[in-house]
Amino acid sequence: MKKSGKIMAVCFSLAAIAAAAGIIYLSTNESEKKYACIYEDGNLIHKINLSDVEKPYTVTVGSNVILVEKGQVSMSDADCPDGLCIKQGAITGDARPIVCLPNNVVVKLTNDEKDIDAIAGN
Amino acid sequence: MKRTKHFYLVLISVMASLSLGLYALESLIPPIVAVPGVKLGLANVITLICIYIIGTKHALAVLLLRIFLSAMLFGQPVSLTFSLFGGLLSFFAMAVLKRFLCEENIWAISVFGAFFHNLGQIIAAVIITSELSVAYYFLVLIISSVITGVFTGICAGYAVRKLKKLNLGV
Repeated sequence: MKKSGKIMAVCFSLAAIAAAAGIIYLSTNESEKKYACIYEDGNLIHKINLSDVEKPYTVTVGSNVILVEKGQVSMSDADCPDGLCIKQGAITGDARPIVCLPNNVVVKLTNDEKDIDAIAGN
Repeated sequence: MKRTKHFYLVLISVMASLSLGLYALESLIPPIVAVPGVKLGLANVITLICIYIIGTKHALAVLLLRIFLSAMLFGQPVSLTFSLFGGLLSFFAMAVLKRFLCEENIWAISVFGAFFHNLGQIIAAVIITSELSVAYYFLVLIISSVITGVFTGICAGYAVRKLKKLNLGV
């Protein structure tokens, strides 16, 4: 392998390590968030106060079923062909959102007080 | 071999169907990581081979054929947007880098191709969901693009060396 190849191999490895470090940094430094926001096609559909949840319940958005529990949310059912949003598991902080690209549904946690969903809090 | 219009027509068709076949084969592999966009990118092997063997212009035709046919045959409505963003960004990155890197470094071009493919898809995802936090998944995609890029790049490099010996054309 020529010198240019070696330099690039080192650069790629560094990029991968930096990305891995970024993932670890984000997941260890995430803080608990109060509200779960559910977006469909870029519009906020529900905003749920997670500290008020006593019994777990589900919210249906289109064909995606979102399981809301105290302090965490997860996607429990969806009709997308890959089912990746279900496999993304539960989120408890703001490090990553749950994304279902085929149905354009995003669930993320935040502390932002705006537009709190009055109905879904029941 | 004489390089006529028909020669390219046949070569582009064969390459497009090969790439479509690999794309279909790849979709049978169950996802390893629960992140949309993590995949081997076997179809990119063909794109790379085309860039080196039949030239950039014809390689673009192969890529566009593959993108539109795969969206029509197996795609969901959104997949065409993602394929176009990822595919074209990756293609132009590879076509430019080909001028600066020697043939021995096809694997590196492939890594850049995979990287820009994922970058394009993340941009498409941010636009479609209008949610910037989706960009978190780009970190995962960087790691996967290095691994899969090296793999597909080695495959393409091997094929390019063999095909050059056959003296196909360009």
